[in-house]
Amino acid sequence: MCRAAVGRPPGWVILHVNTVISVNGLMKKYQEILNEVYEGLAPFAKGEMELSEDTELVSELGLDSMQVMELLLTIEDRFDISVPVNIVPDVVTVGDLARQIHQLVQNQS
Amino acid sequence: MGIFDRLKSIAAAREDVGQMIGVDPFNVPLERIISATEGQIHGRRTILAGTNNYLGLTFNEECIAAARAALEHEGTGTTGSRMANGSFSGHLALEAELSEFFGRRSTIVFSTGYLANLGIIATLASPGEVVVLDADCHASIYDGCRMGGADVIRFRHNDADDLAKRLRRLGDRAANALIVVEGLYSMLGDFAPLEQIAAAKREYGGYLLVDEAHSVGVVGDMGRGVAEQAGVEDDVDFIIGTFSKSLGATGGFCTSNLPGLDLVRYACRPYIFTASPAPSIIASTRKALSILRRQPDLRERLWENAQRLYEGLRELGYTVGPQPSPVVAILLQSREQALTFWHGLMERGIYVNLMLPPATPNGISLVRCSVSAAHTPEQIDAIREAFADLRDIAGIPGAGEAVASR
Repeated sequence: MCRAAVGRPPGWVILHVNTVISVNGLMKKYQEILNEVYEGLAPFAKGEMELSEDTELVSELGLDSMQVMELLLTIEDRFDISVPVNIVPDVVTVGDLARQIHQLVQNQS
Repeated sequence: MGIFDRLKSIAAAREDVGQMIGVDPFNVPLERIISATEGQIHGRRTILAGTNNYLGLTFNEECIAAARAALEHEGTGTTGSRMANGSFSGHLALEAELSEFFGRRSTIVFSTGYLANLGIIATLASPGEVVVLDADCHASIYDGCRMGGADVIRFRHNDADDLAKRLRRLGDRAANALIVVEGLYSMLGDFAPLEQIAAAKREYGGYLLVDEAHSVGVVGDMGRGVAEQAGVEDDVDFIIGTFSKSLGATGGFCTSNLPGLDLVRYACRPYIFTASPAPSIIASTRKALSILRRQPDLRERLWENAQRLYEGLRELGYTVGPQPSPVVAILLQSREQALTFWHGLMERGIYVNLMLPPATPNGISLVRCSVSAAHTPEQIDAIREAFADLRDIAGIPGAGEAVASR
């Protein structure tokens, strides 16, 4: 949560004024994003493979960069936000992707 | 870990392909060039149907004479950048002629089409800016974005509503966004819906850049491309093109009415830090441009050939691209099938392009023909015959008794 607020003073202030509600809201949003990412990645999970935040997109799920970018299109529409493809090089795991999107949701809300 | 370790997957893929068909489809030796549409490959006389030589001008006598004269009078090369070594009169003349052809204020000539996209996009779209591009844009456009450092937002291929949605989300940032599309897409041969794309730009703002690499000389009454045909040239801020397709040489350009383009020249690394095009290339390109303008019959012949091949392959039961164009794509069911199919064409003396993921949209495998005005109707029919022979490999139902089971 702190990572999401860094570099965005207004969000930081809101977080402190209304701590409980905001923290719950942020957690809920993060979980929602994570679930959406899980859903988008489900077709890539082979056999009994269970997805977690630590699952690696390329080495474990076999995605290429084009497939990651296609997933971003779906996520943009689901949350009505802009997700620059510039984030792709920094995304290794499912959790990385969810956190990047979470940060963008915070910045654009 | 060695510096080549991350290329190991390429070695494995090459070995795999080598075992399957015995040749490297991405490094084909053209042992001899016979004409704009024929060559010799692996000792076999072959019809070239994957060259992007849309108007067939590579062997045009006037173009060759112009190049030869430039070689004799100006030498083999410029040996440096225009910023350091100066501009030859041919560079300046070609820029003026392109500006006049497109009805634009100014033009910058680049050493290749790749560098034109790389240079213009990287210079305009720096960190803090935003590029909104069609998802299926060429690698040179993606590379320009990466070099420039702007935020890059993709929209679904040829979906103007999807573009509008993404511009809306940008809010105030949309006013300075660089919207990038191609006129005619080189993988499937489909056209951009430029009327709707221009409408989205008018509604939300931004600058529109259209890469007409495959459409200059090919589309439009005057051959200015898809923007001309769609009647939206006034909405297009930057047109990028190449000399390596319909103009039969190498090089690229960007033309615009915006005065700022003059400044781009001084900040554009892919323009500054590379040698300028050789005089012979500029001379043949200038001649090719004048032929493109005064011989619309070349365009007519090109489209007759394109229609003939597109319809012919469709009648054979092939899944072709969404609309007829000089790029005729044949969609296949798997990478292995595409490889075997491509090799079958080579064995029948037909050279086309093999396209595999990730270079293709949506992970599809395809072979891609590019038609030329210089193809004779007999050559088009020979290409069709080779495809007819290979229907079994493509798994076309009813093609024969030995339909491949895959």
